[in-house]
Amino acid sequence: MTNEQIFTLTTSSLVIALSLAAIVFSFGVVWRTERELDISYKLFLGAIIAFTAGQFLEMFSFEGRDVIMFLAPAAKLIFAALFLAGTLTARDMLRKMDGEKEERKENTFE
Amino acid sequence: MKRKKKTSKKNQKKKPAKKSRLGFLRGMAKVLGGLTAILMLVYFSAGLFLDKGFIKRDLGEKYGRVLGVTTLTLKMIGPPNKPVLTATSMCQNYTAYVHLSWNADDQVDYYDIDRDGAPLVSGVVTNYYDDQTVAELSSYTYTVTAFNSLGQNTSDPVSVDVLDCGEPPPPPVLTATPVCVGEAPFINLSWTSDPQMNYFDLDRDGFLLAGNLTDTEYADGAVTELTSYTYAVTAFTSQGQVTSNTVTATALDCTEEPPPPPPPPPEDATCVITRFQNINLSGYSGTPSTKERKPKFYGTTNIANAIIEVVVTGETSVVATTSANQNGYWTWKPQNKLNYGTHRIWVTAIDPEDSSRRKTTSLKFKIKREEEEEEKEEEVETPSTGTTVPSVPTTPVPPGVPETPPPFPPAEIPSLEISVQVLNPDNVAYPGSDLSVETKIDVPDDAAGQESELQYWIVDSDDNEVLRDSNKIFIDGDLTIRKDLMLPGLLKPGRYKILVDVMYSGTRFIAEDSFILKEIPLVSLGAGITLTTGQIMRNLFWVILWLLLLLIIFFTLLAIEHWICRRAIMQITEENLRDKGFISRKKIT
Repeated sequence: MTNEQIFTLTTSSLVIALSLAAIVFSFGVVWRTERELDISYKLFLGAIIAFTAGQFLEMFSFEGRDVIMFLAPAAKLIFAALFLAGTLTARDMLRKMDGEKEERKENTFE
Repeated sequence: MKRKKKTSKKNQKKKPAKKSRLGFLRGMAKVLGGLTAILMLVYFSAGLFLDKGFIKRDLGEKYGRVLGVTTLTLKMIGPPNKPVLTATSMCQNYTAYVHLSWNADDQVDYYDIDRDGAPLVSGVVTNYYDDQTVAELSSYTYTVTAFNSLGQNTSDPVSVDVLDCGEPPPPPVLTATPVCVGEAPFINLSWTSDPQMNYFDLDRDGFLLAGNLTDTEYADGAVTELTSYTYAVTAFTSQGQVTSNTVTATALDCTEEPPPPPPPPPEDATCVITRFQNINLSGYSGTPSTKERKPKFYGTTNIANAIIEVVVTGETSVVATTSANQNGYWTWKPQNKLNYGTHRIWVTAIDPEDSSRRKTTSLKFKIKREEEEEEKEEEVETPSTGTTVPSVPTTPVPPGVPETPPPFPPAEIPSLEISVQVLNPDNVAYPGSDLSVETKIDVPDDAAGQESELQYWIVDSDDNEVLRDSNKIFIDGDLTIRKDLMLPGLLKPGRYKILVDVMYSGTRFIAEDSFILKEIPLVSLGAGITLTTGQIMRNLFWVILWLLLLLIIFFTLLAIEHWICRRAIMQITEENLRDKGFISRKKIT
C-alpha cells in the first residue's frame, strides 16, 4: 500500500467518523433548543446527514451504476442547500435578537 | 421605558411569530428556487457550449437510463424465480471438477450453492460455478438457491458422477544449445515428448515465442548476440497441459572480427508466417488450403511489439493492423468470412520506434469448398518434422517452378487509413457499462463519397466474438466517429480487443485496439483501493464485525446524548441565551 493510499484511507475514515459524531451532537442540540435556534440546528442536522450519505454513496459510485452516480452529487447539493438554509435561519434569529428587524418596523410605523 | 418596551415586544411576539416563520419559509423557497434556476442555466449553457449533442445525450440517454433502471427496480415485486441447474463433470489438467450453471436472472442478488445438503459456497454473483473440491469417481447432489431482498428460491437437486481424469504424462525435458549459422546466432531447443502430447507452446522470458508446435525442436533465430534468454515448453494433451523445466542460454557472438568503432546498424528485420490454420509452413511447398473461411495465421518477427500490417487480396480485399508481443509472436484471423478461391496475404512487420525498419512477407493460400476436400487432399500436407531453423516461407511456389510474387502493396488496394482508439481511462471498462471508442478514417481529398457500414466487434483473447454492432456512415472526407458500446453484464474479466471494420471501394479495412475488462468493484475506499463483491463475501465476517462496531458506537453515543438531554433542565431558550450573552451581539444603537 502506498503512502498516498494510506493517507486517503485515513482521511476518508476520519471524515466518516467525524460526520457521524457531528450527527450525534447535532441531535443533542436539536433536542435541547426550541423555535428558530431549533430550526436552524435541524437544518444543520439535515445537512450533515446529507453530507454523510453523499460520502457513503461515493464509495459505491462506479461507472455503470447510473442511479448512484446521480444520487451522490444530489446529496452534496442537498447538503449545501440545507447548510445555507440553517445559516440563514440562525442569521435571521440573531438579527431579531439584535432588534434590527423590529427597529425597522417601528421606524416604518413612525 | 425600557421595561415597557420589553413587555410590549414580548406581547407582540406571539402573533407575528407565525407570520415571520411563514415569511421566512417563503423567502427560503425563493432563494432555493433562484439558486436552482441559476444552477440549471449554468449546467445547460456549459453543456451546450462544450457539446452540441449534449441535450440529446445527457437528457435522452443518461437520465433515460436512470429512469429505465428505476422502472426495472420497481418491477421486482417478489422473490426470485426457481433457478434451473445443470451440473457437468469435467477434467482440466488431469483434475476433475464439476461445472455448475443455471439460468441468469436480473432480479437475483446472489446465489448460495449446497452440495449433498451442506453449504458449499455462498454469495455467488455469476450464473456458473466450478466445484474443484470433488473426488474422482464420486457422486454428488447439488442445489442452488437464488436470493434477493424479497426472498429466496431453491432449484431442484441435480446429481452428477465425477469423471476419472487419469494421470498426467511426465513433463518434457528441455535443452537449449546456442549455435552459429554463418554469422547469425541461433539457440537450438529440443525437448522430450510423450504419445499423449498433441502440441507444444514455447515460451521465452515468460512470453510466447512459438505456439502450436508439433515438432520437438525449434531454432530461435530472433536473438541478439551475447544476450541470455530463458525458455520453457508447455505440452498440451487432450486432458490438460504439463510444463517443462526452464533453461537459460546465451546467444553466441558469431562475428569473426570485432565490430567497427561506430555501432552497427540495427539488424535486418525479419517476418515469417509460420503456420496457416493447422498447417506448419516450415519447409512446406505448395499452396496451403483450408475449408475454414476465417483461417488463422501465425507468425514471428524479430521486432519486439511490432506493428503487424496485414493485406489479403482476393475478390474482396482486406487491410488490417494488429501487433506482435514482446517476443515478436503474432496471430491474425479475419472477422468476416473470406471468399472461396485463391488469396494472397502480405504481412508487414514494422518497428514501432522506427517505421523505416520493416519487413514484408507473403503467402498464397486457398479457401476451398466442402466438395473440394477430397480432390485436393494432397495440398494439406502433414507438417514436416526435424526442422531446426524455421525457413521463411515467403511466396510458396509450385514445386520446380519459381514464382515471382506480385509487387507490394497491391495496386487494387484503395487509399484509406483507419484507426481506432479506446477512450475509457487507462483502457479499462466494466461489464454492463459503456466502452467508448473513437474511429478515425482518412481518405484522399479527391476521393468520391460513398456510403458504407462501420462494423464493431469485441473479441476475447481467443478471438471469440462477444459483441457486434454497426452503423451506417458516408465517407466523403476525413471522419472521426465516436461510439459508445454497451458491454454485456456477464463478460468475464480479462483482455479484449475492439475491432473496427469499414468497407471502402471493395476493400475491407480493419483497425483494432485492446482494453481490459475489470469486475465492477462494490466499494471504493479511495486512491484506487476497491473491494469487489467476491472480496467482501470472502471476508464477510470482518466486514460485518466492523459495521456492527460502527453502528454500536454510533447508537450508543446517540443514546447517551438523548439521556443527557432528557435530564437537562431545558432552559436553553433564545431569550435565556440572549440574557446570558451567548447569542446576542452588542445592540446597534
